[in-house]
Amino acid sequence: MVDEIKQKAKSAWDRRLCYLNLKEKFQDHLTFAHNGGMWTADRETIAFLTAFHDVEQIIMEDIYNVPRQVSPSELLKLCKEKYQFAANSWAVEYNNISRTRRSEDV
Amino acid sequence: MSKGVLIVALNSTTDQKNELDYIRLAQINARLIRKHLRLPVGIITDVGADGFDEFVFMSKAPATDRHITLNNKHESYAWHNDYRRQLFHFSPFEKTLLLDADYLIQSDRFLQCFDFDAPFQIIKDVHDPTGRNSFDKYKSLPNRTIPQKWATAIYWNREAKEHFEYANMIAENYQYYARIFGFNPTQYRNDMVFSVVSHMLPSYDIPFKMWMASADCTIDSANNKGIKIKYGNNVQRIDNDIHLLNKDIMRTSNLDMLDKWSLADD
Repeated sequence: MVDEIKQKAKSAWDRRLCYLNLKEKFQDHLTFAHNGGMWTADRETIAFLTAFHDVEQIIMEDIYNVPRQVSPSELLKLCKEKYQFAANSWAVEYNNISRTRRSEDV
Repeated sequence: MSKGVLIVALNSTTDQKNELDYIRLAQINARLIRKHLRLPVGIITDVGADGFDEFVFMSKAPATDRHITLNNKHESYAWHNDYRRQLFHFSPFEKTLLLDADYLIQSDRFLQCFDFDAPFQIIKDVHDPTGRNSFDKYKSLPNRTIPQKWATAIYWNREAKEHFEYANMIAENYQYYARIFGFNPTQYRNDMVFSVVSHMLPSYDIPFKMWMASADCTIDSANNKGIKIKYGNNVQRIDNDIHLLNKDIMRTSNLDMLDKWSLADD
């Protein structure tokens, strides 16, 4: 009984690490396959594609550094969907973590 | 075109007579895979097992002794791990994702591999969720020449025949390659073989990190928010695919807990 209480008292949870893991998970969930290539729906890609939204086809390098022909508007649409879905999950989970106070509630 | 997930599971007993029930762990993981990836799951094993969509029988390969910590005691067991290089011909699927039994799936991330469908894809980067960067030292093979890949998860399709033939060639000349790349020549490791394969032949890195918890991380609990791991006095909840290295995962109490967890919401 005493050992159990001691164990509970010692139990620690690193909130900062939890936030870092959550960010890592968010970044991992930004990648997706499209048109033979693999892409990341990050802010840089979204900004680049937005600049070309009025062009029918462009050559763009995927995450494996392979130049591929894509439709910027089509890829932009997918990137935005992917980004918003992942970012919303991130925000929801972030709020849940911020409300957690004790290691036993983790 | 058929696609599915394969798990290799061969039970073993330690020198202290503790059973390492990889098949039961594979059954648990198969439920998680069906839940999150919605794909059929096949097992490669040497005894009958239910709970799988495909069954491939293989007799046990020669083993080497592997030392582990089980319940805080050092034990050893016969490690039968030289199978993966033969699986190109044995896979019942056209598009196959091979996973370790202890790589517990909690997301749909691996579907990207099927969508991308490059002939051979393998894990390159690892994330340690305890923040201790325990696996940074394995970024390259021991002589620091080429990146180390992780055969914990490999994707291939029917165009990857050459990769597996190359893996066979490396395995047959394991001592020679061990000398070149500086790894242990006495214990066969798939990670080493497939690192060389992916360096020599056109291959793609799976585009996300493998989360891996080192051998000192035990399972505290599991619920709809994920698996809670404990290391020292610290805890973290992991709601993502996670490769658990601690063999205590196969203690009956842990398997019972994971069993219930994998059945929840079904």
